[in-house]
Amino acid sequence: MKTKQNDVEIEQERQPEGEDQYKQTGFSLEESKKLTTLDLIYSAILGVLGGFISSLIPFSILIKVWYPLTGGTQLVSGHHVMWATIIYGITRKKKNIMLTMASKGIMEFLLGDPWGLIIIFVNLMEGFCLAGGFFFMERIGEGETKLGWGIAGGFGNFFQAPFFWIINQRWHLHFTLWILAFMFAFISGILITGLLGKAIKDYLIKAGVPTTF
Amino acid sequence: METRNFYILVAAICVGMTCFWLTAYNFVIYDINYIEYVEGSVTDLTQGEINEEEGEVILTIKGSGIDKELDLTLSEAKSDKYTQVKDREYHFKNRVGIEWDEIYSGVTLWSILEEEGILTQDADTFLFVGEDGYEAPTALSLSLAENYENQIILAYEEDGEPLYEKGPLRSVVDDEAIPESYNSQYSVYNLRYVIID
Repeated sequence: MKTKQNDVEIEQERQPEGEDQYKQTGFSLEESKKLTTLDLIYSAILGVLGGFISSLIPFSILIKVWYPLTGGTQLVSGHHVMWATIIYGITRKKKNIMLTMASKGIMEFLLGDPWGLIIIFVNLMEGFCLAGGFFFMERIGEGETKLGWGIAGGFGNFFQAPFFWIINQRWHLHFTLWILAFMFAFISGILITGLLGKAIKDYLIKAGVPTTF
Repeated sequence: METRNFYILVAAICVGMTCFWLTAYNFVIYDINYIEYVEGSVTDLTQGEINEEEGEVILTIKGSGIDKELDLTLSEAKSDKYTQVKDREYHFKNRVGIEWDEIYSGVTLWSILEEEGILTQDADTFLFVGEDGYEAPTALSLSLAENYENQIILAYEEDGEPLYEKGPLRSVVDDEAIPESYNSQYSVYNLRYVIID
């Protein structure tokens, strides 16, 4: 008897008649929303990795070299939320997004983020917005498309731009800089969080990383 | 092409055009020479040191509170004509109450203003403006610069090293000068203008 698991056909022994039918367990838990051990491991790995990279690697220099205006570094801000997109791609559970972003936030805090505990809140809010973006895209039938993932990523990454600009009381800056910063945050969310995250997810699955959906 | 993809393409072009024109507008209002900026950034990055061109103006002091605009090069800022502060520790506090210390070397703002004698009778405040359009949230009183001369500097070195991507100059205001407010917001890197009003 052939069955499909993670898009791979496998041969299963036909159960003799009269014997009990056992529920299929393991990686593919149909309709299950419970977090498996693998989900938790994935969240931990991606959260810690994201925390290290977000704290220690100054991607903003890539932008500062060629874009002089303040707010330009928002163009690479999407890499902060990309980890949550990847985890959603391989687990399809929105709880995992929150768990990954919480792990990432804690790691950033432990690495001495200048915002202290607030960075955990920011990460959780980004995860919440990303989960909301995916929820909305799935409702309108774009849950599997690049457009859907891009827009969900844009929603996920957008929150931090107005949050930090308002908390830093930057209203004395020209309004065009505000508009540019927010547009760049959304664009970065689409490109890096959404599209790049989806591409990485696809390659991970192709490479044989077990999914949990 | 599918209609949906066409709409996505049109939206992307509109967004791109908006970003382009807003950027160009800001380049004009902040007087940014884009080619020079990129050349300078790439040179600093590839050579690993600040490559100051002879006579390149890095700071302009202007505003209604001075008689004439003053342009400074990096070597002029470092000269003994003005009061230099070497490897002094500055205390910072940010919006959420996090505190930290950093060591800077630089030239005091007050010594530049006093030595050049450019202040008018009505000069009252100073404001730091960065090359990227960022400016300090409020102008500070000139009396602070006078009374806390060593606490308000234009720094060109941090921990004995040039400022690289945050330089060549940045403003530094010690917490001691403005204890009632969080002073990190007055630390403007890529400092380009000091506006005296």
